[in-house]
Amino acid sequence: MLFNSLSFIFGFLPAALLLFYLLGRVHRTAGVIFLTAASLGFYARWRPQDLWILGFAIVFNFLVGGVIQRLHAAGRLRAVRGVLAIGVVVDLGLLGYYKYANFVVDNLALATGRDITLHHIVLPLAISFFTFQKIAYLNDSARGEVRGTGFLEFSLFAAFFPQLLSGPIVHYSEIIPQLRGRMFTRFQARNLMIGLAIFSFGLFKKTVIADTLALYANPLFTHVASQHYDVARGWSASFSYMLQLYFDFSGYSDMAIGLARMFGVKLPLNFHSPLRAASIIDYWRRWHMSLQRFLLAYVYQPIAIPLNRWSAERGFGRWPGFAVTVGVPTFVTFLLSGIWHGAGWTFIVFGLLHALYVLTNQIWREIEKAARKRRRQAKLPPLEPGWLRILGYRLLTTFALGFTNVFFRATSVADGWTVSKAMLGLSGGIGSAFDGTAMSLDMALVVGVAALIVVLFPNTQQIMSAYRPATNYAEWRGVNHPPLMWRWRPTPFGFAFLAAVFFAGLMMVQRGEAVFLYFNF
Amino acid sequence: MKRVHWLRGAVVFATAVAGLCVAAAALPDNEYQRYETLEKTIQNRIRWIYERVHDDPAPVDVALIGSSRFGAGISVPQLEAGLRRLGTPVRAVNFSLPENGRDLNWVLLDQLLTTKTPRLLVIGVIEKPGRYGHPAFKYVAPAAAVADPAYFGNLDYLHNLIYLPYRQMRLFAAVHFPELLGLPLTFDPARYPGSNLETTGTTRTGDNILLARDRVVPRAHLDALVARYRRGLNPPILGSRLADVEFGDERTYIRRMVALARAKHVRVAFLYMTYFSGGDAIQERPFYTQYGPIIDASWVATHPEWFTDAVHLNKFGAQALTAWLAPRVAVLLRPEPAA
Repeated sequence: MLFNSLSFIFGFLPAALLLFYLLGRVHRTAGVIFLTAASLGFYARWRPQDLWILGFAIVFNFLVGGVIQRLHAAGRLRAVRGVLAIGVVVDLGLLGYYKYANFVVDNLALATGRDITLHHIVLPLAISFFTFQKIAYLNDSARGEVRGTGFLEFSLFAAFFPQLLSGPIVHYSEIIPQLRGRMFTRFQARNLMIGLAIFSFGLFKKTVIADTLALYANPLFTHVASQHYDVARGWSASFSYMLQLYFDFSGYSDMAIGLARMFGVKLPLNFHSPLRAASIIDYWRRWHMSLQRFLLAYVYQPIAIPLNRWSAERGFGRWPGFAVTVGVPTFVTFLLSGIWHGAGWTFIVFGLLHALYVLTNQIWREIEKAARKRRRQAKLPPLEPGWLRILGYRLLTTFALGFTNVFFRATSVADGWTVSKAMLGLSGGIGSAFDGTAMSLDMALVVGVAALIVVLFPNTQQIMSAYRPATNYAEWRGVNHPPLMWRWRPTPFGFAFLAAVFFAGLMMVQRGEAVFLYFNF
Repeated sequence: MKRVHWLRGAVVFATAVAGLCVAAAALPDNEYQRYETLEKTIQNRIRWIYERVHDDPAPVDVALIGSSRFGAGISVPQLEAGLRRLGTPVRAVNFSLPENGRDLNWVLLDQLLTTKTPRLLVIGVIEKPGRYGHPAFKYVAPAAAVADPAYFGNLDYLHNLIYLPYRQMRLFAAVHFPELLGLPLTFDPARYPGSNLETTGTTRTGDNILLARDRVVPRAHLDALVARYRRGLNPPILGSRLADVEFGDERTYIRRMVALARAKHVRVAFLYMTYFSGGDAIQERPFYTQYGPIIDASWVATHPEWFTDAVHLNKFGAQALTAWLAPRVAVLLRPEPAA
């Protein structure tokens, strides 16, 4: 069942809300049990035979987390590390088997020339997301940040349907206190309507914008070998997909945040206008934020901290030290980020390209830092970048992303290279821009409007900023205000506007219920 | 502007959404374009049906209407030739379409009777009607028909109703931007395949699927298909008293079709076809016989060499069935004896 389906919007959701609040009114535990069961039912609706995997992940991590918490309380930190390692290995083993076994075996067979085959393993929906959430839970337990979790509340935390399928990847400390809050299971019209507003914006992004962009982007990435790409056609493909991906995934994230809010739970942000970022580092702070937070905390830092110590002990100079303390963890983190997205060489190229971009950005920052230091020493005022320079940074970031997104979308590295080569001008000029094969008038209109929305308009949390739309919104409140700022208010006009947004989103569902792009991961 | 209470806001929201839906559903459209919207689907023959009714002056004396079983089973050119040989030269049409659903049959009959006056209407019936309406109904039925639940327990009603505002917005846009939406406003003779379209044998659907119906299928494969088909034949659940609810689509719209036909003095008959090796009784026999005779063609079910799958005849089966049907239709075309 998709969030953008009529059966969900008019069937599952109202029924779940009604029963949750009715049962919660009778007894809080009844509401929690119901919501957990509804979440598991929601998951089972996709492929009932995969429910056991989610069930196993819940039970296993609850038990292992409990052991870790007890060991931590007893001060047995070495044992904590051991049990944590076992838990993480089992979680990653499950993910590895379901997501990567076919890829590894196929490539092994190719590399060795031996006839090694493995039956096709169907990827259980959301396994990448819920595995990371459980790993975060185990790590939080090992850090002593988790105490006294009951099985029921853990199950709800682990299976809560709004964020189960594609995130945001949440931490224990963000959700459990809310589930224990006095007002949880109590109906509040305010939460319902704020949630509905956020959900409506997400629905609009998905069905009106992303699915329209898909009509143009998909043909440009289908049968790539048989199409001719020049510069114009290559960039048309890249930009239309980049915008589609942004509106699709940020639309999903808004819907997830809105749905959780309807049940009285706030989730963390997953996007904060990443396509307005002025650097690739800034971009990664704002794109799929909950994944980046996970990778930073559980991949980057565990690698960078000992390397920093080691580099300091060895007395490495500026650039060798930079290579060890920043280069290595960045490279590993983005490689893993690429692999996390999918078992394929295109995702590895995607990860490596981003590693290269981020490292280049880090080097640039080092150079700028040194320049600022020199100015300070010369007692000159700091040089702030002007608007033209910031515009240049933004354009550079956007164009750089154009290449990575091509590999993210392409079905093979060869296809990705065909499009990228054209974008670099190695396959012809811009002739297709004039004969209408790169971008028809209607496509130009759709892509143009989508780009203007990205550049000029506020994002969902900025529109809803008066109502603390996410757990971590305070951190982002003042970041990157758009040229056209507008805040939603609960006035008759506000509700009528919301109705129009919801109506438009609902109508476009009728074109066909398209799966969210991130459901593939 | 003054803030309103959240619950009052919810009411404003719900009212505005409902208002927008009603306003969108009331948008005018071009009927021809409505029948073009299924051009790239398995239901693509529906545009031809509309054109045959409204843009082709050739009369219609015999109209056959039903599911794909009847489309694949009855060849109109052969039926016309057979009737001619029997001294009954008539013009026939086969308005059968893939999938069951009597609501669409009713819409098509209503269209037919606006411009033609057939002498005989043959309604294709099967061993057990479905519980749902036709999936193409929401695309082509007039807005008022979609908005009308027609009977208590209409399982498609909400699904169809929620589609209506979108459909009308799209069709309204298509009136003003026909090329952008790929829906020409008027009939183009170059696209019209002729008065007596052949629906039997191998055909290609609008979504480019080849329906290969000029071959004989191995018996074992046919048996497997039949076994699967039988598993989907769920017996009635609610009992005979509530048959009008459980099989509301079949019963309500058959009644409506008969009423339309009788108003135009069109004789009604039913043609029964079953699946390969199916010996089941016609579940709705007493219901159908109230309105007309049943021509029982279940004898074809004993011929494995005539089926391409569990329910559809190949061209050899269609030839045999049509040849058998022609004299029976000729009898029904004779003036009814005065009561």
